[in-house]
Amino acid sequence: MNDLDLCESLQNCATVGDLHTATTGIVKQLGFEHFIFGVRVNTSLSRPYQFVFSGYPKQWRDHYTESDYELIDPTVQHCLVDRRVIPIIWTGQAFSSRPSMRLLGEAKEFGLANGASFPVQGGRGEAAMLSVASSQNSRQAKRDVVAMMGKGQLLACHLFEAIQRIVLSVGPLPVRGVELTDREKECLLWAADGKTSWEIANIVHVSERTITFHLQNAARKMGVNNRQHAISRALSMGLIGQSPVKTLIRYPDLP
Amino acid sequence: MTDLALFESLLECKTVSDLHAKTGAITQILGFDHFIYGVQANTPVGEPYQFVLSGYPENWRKIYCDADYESVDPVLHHCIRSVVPVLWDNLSSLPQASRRLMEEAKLFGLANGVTCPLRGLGSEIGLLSVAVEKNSKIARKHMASSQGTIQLFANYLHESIHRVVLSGGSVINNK
Repeated sequence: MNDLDLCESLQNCATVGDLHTATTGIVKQLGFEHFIFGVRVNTSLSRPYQFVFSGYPKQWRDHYTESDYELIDPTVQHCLVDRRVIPIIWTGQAFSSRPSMRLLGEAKEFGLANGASFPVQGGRGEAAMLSVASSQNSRQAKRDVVAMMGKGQLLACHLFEAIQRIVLSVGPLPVRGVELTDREKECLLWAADGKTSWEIANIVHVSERTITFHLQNAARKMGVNNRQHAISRALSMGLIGQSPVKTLIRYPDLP
Repeated sequence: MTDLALFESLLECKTVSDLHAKTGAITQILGFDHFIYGVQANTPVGEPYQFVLSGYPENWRKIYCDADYESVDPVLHHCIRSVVPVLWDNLSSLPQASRRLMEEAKLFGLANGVTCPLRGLGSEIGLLSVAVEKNSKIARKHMASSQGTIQLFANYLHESIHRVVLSGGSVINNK
């Protein structure tokens, strides 16, 4: 099975249910019994939105949630908090702190002995992770994990796209829907730098009222109603800083 | 040596030239002839940064930059829209200028390839492309079956570039 065919079935899924079935099949082909995919969207700095797509045993999920284990889970720290881009294998080294050792020990009792977690960072403040797990904990099983890391990372990227398409872009979240104009972004950037409307007006050579108008429009589009909230949301969602295509990457030659 | 161990060795690199050499070597081991890595972000406060690690033929790079090809480069467009790797063969319904770009690249030893998008914090966006000089059925099959490996390679390179180049607050704006 080549990598292209592996994830193709995800592209045809129309519902979360379809996606669950397809993902379960792919995870099995990779040699794992369980998976979980979570995405966090920083719509707000204080209360990020979270969507979890679970193929984990329900009892373990319930226990994990009730115990607030995500606060001590090193894979969550690695992928969603530190926002790393490389995967993390569930080794003793990764789970070296005492609480995380206990976490892994308990997970084993629920059939999650061996596995790996793959981060996917989105461009608009989203951070996602896929974990795949198996009850097999032999040396061979550990070698199998290492051998499938590329496929696991690929699956994580495809799942992210599928969840974007099926869940995030149609739900209550302004993840894809928000498009700010260049002027709105410019005003927000200056505002984020601490400039007042009057100062921004002088920088970009339009009236102060026009600046207020742009900032209000930007706030309305993002579903917030004041300047500070507009700045923080635009930053947390990565809406400001998106450059136009033409200047994306300039490819300087190496010094 | 497993692929993973190979990629992890990138994390040991201390300088840009180490990274360049190691990335070139891994590209060869994976069965490709050329690579290019690029990253850019408009930081919310302060100057945008850009960085490119190029193992592409130099004469092609020069033409590409002089002609401002990035505006019509279909792999860049893909990387803005998507986080999954793309085989160049699968870039479909391209405008004429983009098709011409891909055809011209073939003359410089970039016959076919795979591009993996990269993301980081905020608006950071990047890519790794690896290319073969000779296109063939076997090469196409190889590319299709190694997409995951190349994406993993891209992610490790991205992490390593951050450690060596982009960390410590140094801003790279090296046009």
